[in-house]
Amino acid sequence: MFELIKHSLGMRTTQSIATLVTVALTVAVLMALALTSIGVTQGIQKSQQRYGADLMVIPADAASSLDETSFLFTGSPVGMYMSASVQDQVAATEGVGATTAQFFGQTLNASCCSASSPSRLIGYDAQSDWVISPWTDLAKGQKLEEGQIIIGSNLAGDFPNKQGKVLGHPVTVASVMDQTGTDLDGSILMDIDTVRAYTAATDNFADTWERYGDPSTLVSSVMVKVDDSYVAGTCGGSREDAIAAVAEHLSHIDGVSVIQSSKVIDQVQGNLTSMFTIMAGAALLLAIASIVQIFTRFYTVAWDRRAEIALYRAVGASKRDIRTLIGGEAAVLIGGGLVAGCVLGVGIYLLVPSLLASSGSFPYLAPGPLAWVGVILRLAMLFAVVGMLAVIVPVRRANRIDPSAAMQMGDID
Amino acid sequence: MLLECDKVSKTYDGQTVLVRIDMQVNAGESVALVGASGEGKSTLLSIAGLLLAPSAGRVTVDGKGIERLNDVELSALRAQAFGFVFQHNQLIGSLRALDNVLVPSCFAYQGDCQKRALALMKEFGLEDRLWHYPHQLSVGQKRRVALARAMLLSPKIIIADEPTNDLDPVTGRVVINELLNYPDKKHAVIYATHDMAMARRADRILHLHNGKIEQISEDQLAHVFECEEKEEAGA
Repeated sequence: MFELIKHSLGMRTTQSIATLVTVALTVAVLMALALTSIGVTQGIQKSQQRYGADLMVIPADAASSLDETSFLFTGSPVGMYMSASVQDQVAATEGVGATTAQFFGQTLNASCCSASSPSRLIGYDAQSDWVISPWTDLAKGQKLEEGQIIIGSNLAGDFPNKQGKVLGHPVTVASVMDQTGTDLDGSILMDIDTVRAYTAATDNFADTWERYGDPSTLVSSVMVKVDDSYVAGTCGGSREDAIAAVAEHLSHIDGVSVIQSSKVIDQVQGNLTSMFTIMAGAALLLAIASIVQIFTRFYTVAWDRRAEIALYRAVGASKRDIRTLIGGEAAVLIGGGLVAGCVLGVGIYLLVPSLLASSGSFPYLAPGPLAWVGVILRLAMLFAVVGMLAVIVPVRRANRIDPSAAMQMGDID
Repeated sequence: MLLECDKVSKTYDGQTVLVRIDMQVNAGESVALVGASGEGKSTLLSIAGLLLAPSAGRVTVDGKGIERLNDVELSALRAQAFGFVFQHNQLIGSLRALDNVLVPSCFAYQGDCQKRALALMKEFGLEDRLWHYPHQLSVGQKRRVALARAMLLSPKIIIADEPTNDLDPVTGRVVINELLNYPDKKHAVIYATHDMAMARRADRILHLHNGKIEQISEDQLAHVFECEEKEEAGA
C-alpha cells in the first residue's frame, strides 16, 4: 500500500510539492506567531508581577525625554536623578504604603565589564526593597557587600566564572536573577551606596555630578506601593482607582513625574493584542488557503483516477483500502508539510528575540520546552483535522466508483 | 462447483440485459462465452466476478452465497477467487511491468508475491521486460502482463474479457494457450470472445443472446457466428 501511495505522490510531483510547501509555510507562520505570542504574554505577565511597585516616581526632566516602554522593558542605561529628599515627600503622601529608592548608573565599554554594550547599573536599598528580592535567591533584606553584584538573566555570559569588572572595580556575581522579560534582565544590581560611590569616582560622570550634585544625595527613582487600607477606603474599592488617586497626589510634588506601570503594561498589551490580531488574521487566511489547496488536490482524485481506483477495487481493494490509500497520501503531504513547517518555523522564530530586542519595547520571555511541545502538538492536531476534512468528500466519491467500471475503461495513464 | 449464477438478471435504466441466467463453472474446466456485441457478455462476467451486483438472482462462490458479505469480505473474496484480464488491459502507465503485476498484492498479501510475479513473467516470456513501462511494450506483451497480474494470487477463476482482442492470430494463440493452461483441480477459466477458433478450444461454449444463455456445441458455433454476422450486417 505504501508503494502505491509513494507512486501516486510521485506521479503528481508538482501538485504534491505545491501542497507540501503551502502546508509548511502555514505551519511555520502559525508556529512562529504562537511562540512569539506565548513569549510576549509571559513577558507581560512577568512584568505585572515584576512591578510589585504600583507607581514609579522619576525626575520630571527625564519623563519628557523618556520612552516609558523602553524604560520598563529594556536594560538600556538611563541617566536621571533627583534629590533623595523626594523619597521622604513620597513616603509622606496620602495613600503611600511603602517606598524604596533606586539609583541608576551605567557600566561603560567592554573593557570595564560588559561583553557587549553598556548596561544599566541599578543601585537598590535591600532593607526597603520588595521589587528586586523576589527575583533572586538572596534572603529578603540581605545587603550586598561592596564588590558584589546581582546580574540579569541576559548577562550571565558576560561574567565567566562569576567574576568581572564594573567601572574598573573587580566584582563577584552573588546571584543571577530569574528571567523577568523586563529591564532587569539586562541590568546589573548593586547596593545603592556602592553604585553612588563607584559613579562618583568615575571621571566619565563628572559632568553629570556637576549638573545634579553629589551622587550620595541623589536617587533616580522611587518605587511606590499603595497602602492596602487606602485601597479599601477608596470609593468602589478598586485598586486601579486607588493607584490613580495616589498618582494624582504624587504629581503635586515639584520636579517629579509619575509612571503608573500597570497603565504602561496595559497599553503595551493593547498594542500587542491589536498587532497579534492582525497577524493572526493573516495566518488564518494562509491556513484557509492551505485547506482549500489540500481539498482541491484530493477532490479531483475521484474523477482523475477513476480507472485506477476501479482497477484497485476489481483486484480486491475494499472501500477501506481506498480510504487508506487516499488518506495515506494526504497524511504524507500534511505530515511532510508539518515537519518542514516546524523546521522553518523554528528558523523564523529564532529571528524574533533579536527583532524584539532591537525594537526594545516589548516584554518578552522565551517559551520553555513544554510550550514548544504544546504548540507543535496543537499544530499537528489542527492539520490532522484539516487533512481528514479535506479527504472526506473525495474518499466518498472514490468509493462510489463501481469496480465493474474496470471492465469498460482503457489503459490508465 | 467453483461458481454458480442462479437465475441472475440485470436491468439498467429499465432495460433488461440479462434474463434469469443460469451458469456454472467447475474446477478444471474452461468456458467460452460468445455472443454479439452488446448482448451483455461483459455484464455477465462482471456479475460472475463480483464486480457488479445482479438485479435479481444469486451468485455463489465455492457453494457459498455472497449476499450477506460486507464490502471488506466481498473484496477479500474477489481477490482470492477471481483474477481479471480486461478487454483493454487496464495497466497503470506509470508503473513498470513487474509493479503492474504486483498490484493485487497491495491489497491481498499472500506469501512471496515478488517471487511468483517473477516466475509468471518468465513463464510468459517477459523476463527481459520487467522494468519496462506499458508504453514500451507491444500489445501482446501488455496482454501477457495483464494475464500475469490476474494469476498472481492464484485465484480460483480467471475471468478474461476478449483476451485476444487487438492481437494478431499468432499472439492471440499464445495468450489463449497460457490461459487454457490454467484450469486444474482447483482452478477454472471463463472468457468472452468473438473469435470462433478461440471459442472452440474451450471445454464448454455458452452463447448469450437476447439476455438468455444456452450451452452450444462446436457444430452449432459456426451457425451462431454466421447468424450474428448477418444481424450486424442487417443492422
